[in-house]
Parts: sequence; C-alpha cells; structure tokens
Amino acid sequence: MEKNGLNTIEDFLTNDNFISLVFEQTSLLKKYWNDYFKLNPGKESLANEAKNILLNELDAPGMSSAEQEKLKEKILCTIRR
Amino acid sequence: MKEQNENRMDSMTADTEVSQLLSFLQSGDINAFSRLYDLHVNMLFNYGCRLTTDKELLKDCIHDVFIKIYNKRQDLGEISNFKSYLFISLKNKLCDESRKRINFSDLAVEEYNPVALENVENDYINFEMESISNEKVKHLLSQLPPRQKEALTLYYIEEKKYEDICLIMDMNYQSVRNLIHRGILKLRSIAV
Repeated sequence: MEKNGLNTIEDFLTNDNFISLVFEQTSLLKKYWNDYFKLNPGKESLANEAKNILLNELDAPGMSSAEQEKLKEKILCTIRR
Repeated sequence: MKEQNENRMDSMTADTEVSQLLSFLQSGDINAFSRLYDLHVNMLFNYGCRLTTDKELLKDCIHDVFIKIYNKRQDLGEISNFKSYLFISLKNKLCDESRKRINFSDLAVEEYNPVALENVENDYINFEMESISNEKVKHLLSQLPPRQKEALTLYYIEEKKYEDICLIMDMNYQSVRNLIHRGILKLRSIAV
C-alpha cells in the first residue's frame, strides 16, 4: 500500500478532487481521474462504491426532523448573536 | 430510460433551486439560508456518519459549516458546486476538530492518521482555472513574477505533475505548491 494513497472507500470519500469529480465532472477532473485509473486499475471498484455512496446513499434517514430543527435553531441563534 | 430522464430533470430543477437560493442568500435572505439547510442537512449528516461515530462532534461541525456559509455569503458566487463545497467543508472541519481533540487525548500524534487535509479553498481556486480559456490564462501569466509564471505554466499549460515541476525547477514539493498557490492568488487579483 502506498503512503498517502487511496486504499479504502473512506479515502475516496474524503478526497477533495474525488468529491469534486463526482459532482462537477469538469474536463480537467475527468482527465485527472482517467489518468489515475489507468495507472491504478485496481482502484476503480473502490471509487465506484464511494461514488455510489455520495450520489445515492446519503438520502437515507439519518437525522430526525426534530434533531434537524434543533440544530437549525442553534445555527440561527449563533447568526443572530 | 424514461425514468432516467425524469431523474435528470429532477436534479436539474434541484440545481436551479439551489443556485437561486444561493443568490438570495448573497443578498442576506435568511429564509433562503434556512431552505438550503433543510435541503442538505440530512445528506451532510449521513456523509459525516461515514467519517466519525461521534454524533455530537458531527453536529457541532455541521453547525460551523453553515455558520461559515452565512458569514461568507458574499463569496458564494465563487463556488462551482454547492454539494461538493459542503462535503469538503464538513470533511475539513471534522479533520480540524478531531486533530484539536486528539491533542488532549492519550493517543500519540504519530498514531493518528487524519484523512485528507487539503484546503478546500485552495482546491476550488485550482479548478476555477479550468473555466478560464488558455489564451486568457497565457496573457495573465505574462504579468506574474517569472518563477510563479514558470510554475503555473508547467502545471496548467503543460499539465506536468508536482513531482516533475519539483525536478524541473529544482525545488521541494511544498515550495512548488506554495509557489503555485501564490501564483493563483496573484492571478485572481489581476483577473478581477
């Protein structure tokens, strides 16, 4: 395993360039990642899993609406201060 | 196929709504801010849950991310994609906070392996470059100090990797990064 490499799903989920690729798909990003996957063909399935999480799995129930409201109140309160 | 098209329509409508909300927020509309929060908080929470098990820390970090968005609302126009901005901001915040807290714990710093530490703004500036055409970039580059110009030309025009630029310019990795970063900031100040 290379140091600072992308070896787990979490590594991909926390990589700024990868997050940008998933949501922005600019030609520069696409080129960068195409090159990366050419050099690291074994990493593509991890990347696809991470992409699937970012695009499809984050809508699952997580925070209850009560929790969401409570946190929103706190944020608005901080803003008003 | 039909369903795919509909999904695409949905996401286009959602993107349009978000960009409208962002421009309302820029002029200080608190309801737009509140709606942006409603649209994204659950998604951010679920994302954060993949990175930490500490739900209270996570909520604190989400709080700080939204506060920063509100305080920096004048700069929101520079964000190319709101979702990736949110994810990257939350990830950075979680890293910062975990690092702060780890300093007070028994765990040796060397044993702690924080996830990516890149600076979100830095990366956004990098990719902003792409939207500017090469010709304009070349013209602007000619107004930079020679070393900055050389580094940026190697990186953006010749698309060399940092490692290669280090060799060509006989500088270490961090200095090259700093040089490119300063160059981009300079470039932005000229370009506006």
